[in-house]
Amino acid sequence: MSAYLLVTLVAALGPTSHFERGLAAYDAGQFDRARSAFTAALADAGVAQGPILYNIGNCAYRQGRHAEAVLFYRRALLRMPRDEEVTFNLRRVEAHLGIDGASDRSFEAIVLGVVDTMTPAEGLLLVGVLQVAGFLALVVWRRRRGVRLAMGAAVVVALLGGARLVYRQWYAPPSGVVLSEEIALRAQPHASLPATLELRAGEVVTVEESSDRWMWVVHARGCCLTRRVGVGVVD
Amino acid sequence: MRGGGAALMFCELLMAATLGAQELTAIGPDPAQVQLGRAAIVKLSVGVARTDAALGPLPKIDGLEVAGGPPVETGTDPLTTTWTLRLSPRRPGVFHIPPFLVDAGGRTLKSEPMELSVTDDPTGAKYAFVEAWTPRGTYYVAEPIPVTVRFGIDAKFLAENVSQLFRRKLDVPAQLRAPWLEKMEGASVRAPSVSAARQSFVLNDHVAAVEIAGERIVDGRTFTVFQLMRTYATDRVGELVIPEPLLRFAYATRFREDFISGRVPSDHHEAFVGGDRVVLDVRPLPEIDRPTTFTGAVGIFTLRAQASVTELNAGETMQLVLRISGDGVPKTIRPPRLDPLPGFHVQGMIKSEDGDGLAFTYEIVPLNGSVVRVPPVPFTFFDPGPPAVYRTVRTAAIPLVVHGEPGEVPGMPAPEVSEAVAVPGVDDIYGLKTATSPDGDDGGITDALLLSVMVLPSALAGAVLIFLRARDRERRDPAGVRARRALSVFRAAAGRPGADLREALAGYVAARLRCPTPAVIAPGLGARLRAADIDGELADRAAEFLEGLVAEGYGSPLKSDGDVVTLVEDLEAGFSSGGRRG
Repeated sequence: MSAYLLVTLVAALGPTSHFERGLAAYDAGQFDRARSAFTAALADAGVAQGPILYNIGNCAYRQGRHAEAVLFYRRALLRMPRDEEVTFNLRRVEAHLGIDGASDRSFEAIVLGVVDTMTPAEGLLLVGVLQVAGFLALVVWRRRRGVRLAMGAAVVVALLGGARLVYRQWYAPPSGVVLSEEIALRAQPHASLPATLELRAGEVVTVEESSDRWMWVVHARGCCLTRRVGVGVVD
Repeated sequence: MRGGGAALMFCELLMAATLGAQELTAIGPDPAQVQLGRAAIVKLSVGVARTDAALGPLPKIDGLEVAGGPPVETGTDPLTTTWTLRLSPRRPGVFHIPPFLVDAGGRTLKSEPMELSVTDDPTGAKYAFVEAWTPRGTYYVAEPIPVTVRFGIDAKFLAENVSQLFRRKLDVPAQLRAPWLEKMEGASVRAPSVSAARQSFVLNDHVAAVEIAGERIVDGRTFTVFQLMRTYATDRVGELVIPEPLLRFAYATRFREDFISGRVPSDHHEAFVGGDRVVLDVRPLPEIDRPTTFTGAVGIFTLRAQASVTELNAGETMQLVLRISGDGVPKTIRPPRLDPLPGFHVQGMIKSEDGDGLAFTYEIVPLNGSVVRVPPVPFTFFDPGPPAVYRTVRTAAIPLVVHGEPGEVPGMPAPEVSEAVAVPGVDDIYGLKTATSPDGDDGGITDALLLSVMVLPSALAGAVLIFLRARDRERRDPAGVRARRALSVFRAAAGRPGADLREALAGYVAARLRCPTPAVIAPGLGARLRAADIDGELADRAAEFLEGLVAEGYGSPLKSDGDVVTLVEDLEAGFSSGGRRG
């Protein structure tokens, strides 16, 4: 009887946080409500955003808004780059959209891909540890050629990794996801001008510059201006 | 007998004459070669009364529309019935027209086969295009098939030459002939509930709205593109053919300026352009792994349940609304099975449809006071994928307070073994993440932290290296170290008021000459200093000064402290420059 009362009480009180409300609504199949709750949870102080963004992506997927799901999965992936569930869901929704998820196979892309599988904090920790260890070893065993070479290499790797981190933190332009079914790219910010390129929902671009209404985006097939409303920024 | 034979011969002659009159005459097609969009005429004539003749079923020819008018009687003797048939091609090419059939007085007459040659309209093909497009080539029975029809007109031509096609002014002065956009045999057609279509144009034979879809560059020319969308669903397995759309528009080559109307076309031409037909492969739903709870829904759906009350007495009626939303075709969806719904008696169900989707409203009655919830209701649909799979979703249980005598409430039956459940990570997305770290650690870094980690280790290593190098240098030059220390000792002593500088001076000179301190007080100090690259006058002054130390030891007064400090600084400068020269 007491257990029954407890269950009733918990049911009456309901989930307390936005996040829990989102979970409950999702389980009930109320994906629009779940999405609203998760979106509100993003504003809660002191919570990790990666899982919340992933959950919003799931809501968008269940709502049939596949391009938005791509956006939220990619935003989650920025924060959880090695999360297999995010990666799987992203590939699946891209398959729904008919987007080829195959990535660049060049050596540079593979190396950068490996580096970018770390969060900035993890990368920074690795860079710091490599630098300190390398410098310490260089100082302590500076008269031993083998150690000196190895540690010098470690320091170089750390500095290159650090340079990548600096680029990502300060200079790398954000990527964007095409949210509209189709967007047109133009040479000038005038809707009356002819389109030079058309992109489909879910395709990923690099956002070089943006204003209130227009964005300068770069895609593998070209670069031009497009209306800002059609592209979601992965930030 | 002779008379009977003559009568028989007369009858035979009469029949022969009648049969001759019943020959089917076909004229056409006229013209035998037409441009796309223009029609050719075929006339079928038979020498009997209209009441005695009937035109057979018209042949169905891909890309060619054949329409027949009412029969017309002409003449009196002989009486002739004529049908005028209109052949309207939808694509260029040569059409082989099978014989037309006419039933005349109980006989079926056939025309000879015909050919109609259709060529492109060069103006239409140059300045416009029309196309039908579907995302895939293969669909399942009852699956929504989105079809987009786009047509484009050269933007410059549209602005400067295209004129109104009809008396009513249209935003897009064009006519799209595609009857299948409104009705298609063997398939249901649905227009989007919310459409961005705002531009008026003519679809088939009435004014409709079309959406601007942007521009398209073709061979360096910009086409203004318009589009309209429909969703089809069919219950027939096999080929589903979406016929060729045909676009018609008018244009002028000459214009005159009118005081009231402005630029007015002086001539009128019409142009046509056709598109390709689309052939889709419609497959049956797979029998394998089809759950018995399958509702006939094909697409991707979500399910919500809502109870009309949260508290009631046992035996009272309440409503349970199951709302199904998704991209499927509502009419093909059967209501989810509620029977048995543990703890409830299901009285009836009403199906309704609105803008949000499909709703099934069940009237249910809780049986006793032990019922504490409306159990989850399963809904099984077919997700065309990829991968194509049957999926079952369930509503959340709805808590309920039922007043009444307690009773037995059996649990929900276990899912059927045959029910295919989507496996996350295989044929479905992974589920929600149920926990988020409370410390807000998202792996992000601050600019200051990044800067620190990038700069501090290098700076620290540099400092350590400088220190170690200095230490190594000192280790390699003990005399230099002794000299610098002696100078430091002297300067420290000079900085203290009343301090005795004599020993410090002797120690400094001894360190510079690399000899013990007592060895400084010896003859020939001046020569030794000169040998150490000290200027002669300065060397003599230093030697004299140090000899004074000895005298001072015997009571002779010492020179002032200022003289000593000056002397040492001069010596240091001398030793330093000498060391550099050395």
